[in-house]
Amino acid sequence: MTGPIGLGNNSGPVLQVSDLHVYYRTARRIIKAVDGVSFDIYPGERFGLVGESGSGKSTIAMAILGLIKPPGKIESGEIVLRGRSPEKGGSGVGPVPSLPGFADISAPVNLLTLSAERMRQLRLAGIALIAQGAMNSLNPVVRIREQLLDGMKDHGVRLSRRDQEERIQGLLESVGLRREVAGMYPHELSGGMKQRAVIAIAISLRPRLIIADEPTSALDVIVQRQVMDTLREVQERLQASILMVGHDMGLMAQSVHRLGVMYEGRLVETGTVEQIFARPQNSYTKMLIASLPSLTSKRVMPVVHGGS
Amino acid sequence: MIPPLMQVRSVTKTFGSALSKNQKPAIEDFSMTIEGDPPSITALVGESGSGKTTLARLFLGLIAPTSGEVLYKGKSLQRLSAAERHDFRRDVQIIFQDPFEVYNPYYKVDHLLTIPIDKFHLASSRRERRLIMENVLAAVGLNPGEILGRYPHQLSGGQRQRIAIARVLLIRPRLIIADEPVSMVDASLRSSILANVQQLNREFGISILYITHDLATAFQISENMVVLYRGSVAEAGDVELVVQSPKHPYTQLLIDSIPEPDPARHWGGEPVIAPSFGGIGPGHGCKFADRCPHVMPACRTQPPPFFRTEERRAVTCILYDTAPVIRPEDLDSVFVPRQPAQVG
Amino acid sequence: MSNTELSAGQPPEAPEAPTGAMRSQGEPVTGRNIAPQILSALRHNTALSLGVILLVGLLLFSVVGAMVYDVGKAAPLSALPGRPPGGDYPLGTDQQGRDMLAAMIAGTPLTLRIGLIAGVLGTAIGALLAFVAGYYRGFADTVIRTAVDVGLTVPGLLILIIIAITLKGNITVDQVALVVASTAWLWPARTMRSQVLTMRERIYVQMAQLSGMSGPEIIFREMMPNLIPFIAASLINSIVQAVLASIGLEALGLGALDTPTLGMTIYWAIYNSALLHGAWWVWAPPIIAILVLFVGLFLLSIGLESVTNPRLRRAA
Repeated sequence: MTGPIGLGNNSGPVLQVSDLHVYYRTARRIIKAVDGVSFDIYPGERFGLVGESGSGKSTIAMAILGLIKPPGKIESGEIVLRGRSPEKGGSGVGPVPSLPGFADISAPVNLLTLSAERMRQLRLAGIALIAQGAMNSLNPVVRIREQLLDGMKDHGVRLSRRDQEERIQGLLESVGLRREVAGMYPHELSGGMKQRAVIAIAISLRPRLIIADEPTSALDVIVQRQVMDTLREVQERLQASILMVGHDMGLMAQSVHRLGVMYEGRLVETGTVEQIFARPQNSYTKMLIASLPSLTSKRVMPVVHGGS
Repeated sequence: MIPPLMQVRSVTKTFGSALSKNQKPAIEDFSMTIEGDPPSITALVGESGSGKTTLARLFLGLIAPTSGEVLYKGKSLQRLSAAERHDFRRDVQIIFQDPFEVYNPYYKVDHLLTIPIDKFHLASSRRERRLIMENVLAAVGLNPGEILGRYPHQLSGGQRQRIAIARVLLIRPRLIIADEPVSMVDASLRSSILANVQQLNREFGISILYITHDLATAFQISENMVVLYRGSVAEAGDVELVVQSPKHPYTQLLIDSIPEPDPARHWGGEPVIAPSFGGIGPGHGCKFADRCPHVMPACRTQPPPFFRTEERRAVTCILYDTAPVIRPEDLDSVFVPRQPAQVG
Repeated sequence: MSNTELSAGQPPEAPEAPTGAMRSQGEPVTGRNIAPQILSALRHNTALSLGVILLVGLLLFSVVGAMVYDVGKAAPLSALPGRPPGGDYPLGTDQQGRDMLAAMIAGTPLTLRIGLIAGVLGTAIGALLAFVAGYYRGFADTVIRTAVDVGLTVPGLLILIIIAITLKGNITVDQVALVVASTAWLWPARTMRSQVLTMRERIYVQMAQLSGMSGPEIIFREMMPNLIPFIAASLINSIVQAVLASIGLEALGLGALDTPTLGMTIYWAIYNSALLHGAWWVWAPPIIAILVLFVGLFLLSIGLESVTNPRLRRAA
């Protein structure tokens, strides 16, 4: 696995989450979905957040994207994003559009201080999201081509017809889809192809950070591997970073460089995947690893009797 | 001779009306026998589109086959008398995938247990009924005090799935169809719930048909495995053989694609060939041909027969055509026989 | 997990009770807990409370009114004809000597009664047919479905007129209710059938089948309780439609001629050309009463919809 790439003039983490607290206040109680979480993601790195349901991992992703709605509220903390200077490119996906409103996007900006409009501009262009069940968020009555262009148009990218086609073909190729897919509707594609189309949309504006929230949870094992391979390829080519949120430890082991383990709103362990899987420190991490069924030896499964 | 508990004979199921041409069958020419005794655990493994869910519903009599028969004690499910149907319901039960949907939200979770007790006359008084419920709940590792009297939304997914297992235990069927019983349960609870499923087999002598896409869990609890691809059997036999030295290219691809929780062992080497659009119609050869790295012209002309490469394994791939051929109906002969269980 | 959080502002599942299933938490609305929820809804739900207030108001008007006022004066020739409101006759009298206030007090509950009888009958029959058709499918379903589809295509009022005319002679209020009921079951049958069709595919219904439950048992014990909110809404709708239909019939003179139902009062207003005579106190009161009734029932149904539809509830 290739390691993270350090980019010349962008030293320091792409994303810095510091002491984030996100609480949900209902009439009856306060739910501390995220309770003091800090971590960094470096340029070119793939970082995973793993945990079970209720651990807060998805809330963090939503907080980074500014998508927390009442009764949820970001109580405190900082989320700092460092942009990428416009001239840096990779190949294959066309020139980077300048982000209006972000004069120098290589300067760090605390996302929590941004207005709603500036946050909207940042989404897709600076930070892209591949949501869980994203294939179902493709508009069923719009062809893939239009959906690819939509995001770009929304961010003020104006291209000639020919350039548009070129851009679309480039995007499709980078995710391993055939050119005919551009003219198709989502229901004509398989699950894996839909998810790759979603990845294509996510990278269309060359974001600095891609957040993938359980991107393969509805996919079969073989398709999952294809999609993850695709994601990794585009990420490396773009020199972007990935925050991958999920619950599958095996998938994390194969997909990310570093991993953070979430439990009940807290980050209980962080480290490289090698470290975590070889020498887990935290008992919850150990439990997560131990609960994975092995393909090599049959273990006697303990039966719990009586109490809970 | 006592007929086997359940038998599926050359069953094909095609969905859709007669108007739609080229309907691909969800399951094609499938045969299998399940004996009640000795109790076995067989895994039916496949991804989406493999036909495993269709098979589950065929086994339960929720749908009828397009051709072929599903037999319970030698009689076709479509032709059971009312009394025989009642027996069938008593002998063959299910654990569903979704631990929430099995509950009627109007009732407390007790309802799930009281209905079979009443319908199958398992208790003669309310007190006895309560006692039975408490016993089965404890047997699956639940505290009855925390469970009885609650509504489904008040319990966790793991608890709800355990109650579903308790329900099955209550009925003491001879066969349980477990359809992805842990796929919607948190990862940390999976192995303990699977342990409960295995307990049904080991301690209570119930045969299990474990239907899943998760090879690893299938490997852990089953003795025998059938790997399905697009409605047909790719490989079948002793689970240790199939998982640890897979022969069919699809099985190999499947196992290769399972992400191992060990960063040092990287995801498989061979490139994955995506399935073609539209797929292939029946009778056009091996269904895996368009994705197979070892494909040969002969693969496309007719579907490969079952080659018995070892005593406990069969593969439908002409790479192994030196091995003896067996008929689809004799698939069970490759399964590991179990010693008659000491029913506890 | 993500699904629940992405939907507008719903809190994630509590960390202490992980469920694994992607499902929004919170008590589902079912027939069981509808009573306490209605009570709490009455406090927060303006539509519901207003609706209830209006309807209770109408009822009180009739009940208390009957105690303090002589409803016998609703009959013709019980007062000086053609008097505008004032003095002895707070709401005036019509051309045939009916005391309008008495007519209102006596007539409102009669119309309500027609609506109630026809609405309840229609909903009950419709529900029964819907369950049979939706659960058993097959021939019964085809027959019922065709009957409903045909019945709904023919203009309802037309059917009612034909039936009413066929029943010659003096018709009573209850007979009017029965006439209206004869078509009132069509719409409930259709809407409830689709509900039953969906519900039939629910896994808990399959579980009941696998536990050896018979068809009727499944219908009444497994499906019906979960349809109570829907049936309640359907009932209110049926009542509204029934009142409307009965007024339509009566305004054409096909109702119970010697009773002061709201519809009949309108009929007599037309018959005696109250509009032309400028006798607004003859045609306005029944119309206002009908308006209040409808608005009340309408608000009630909106209010109930909030209660039964969890998504609307949270937004409220």
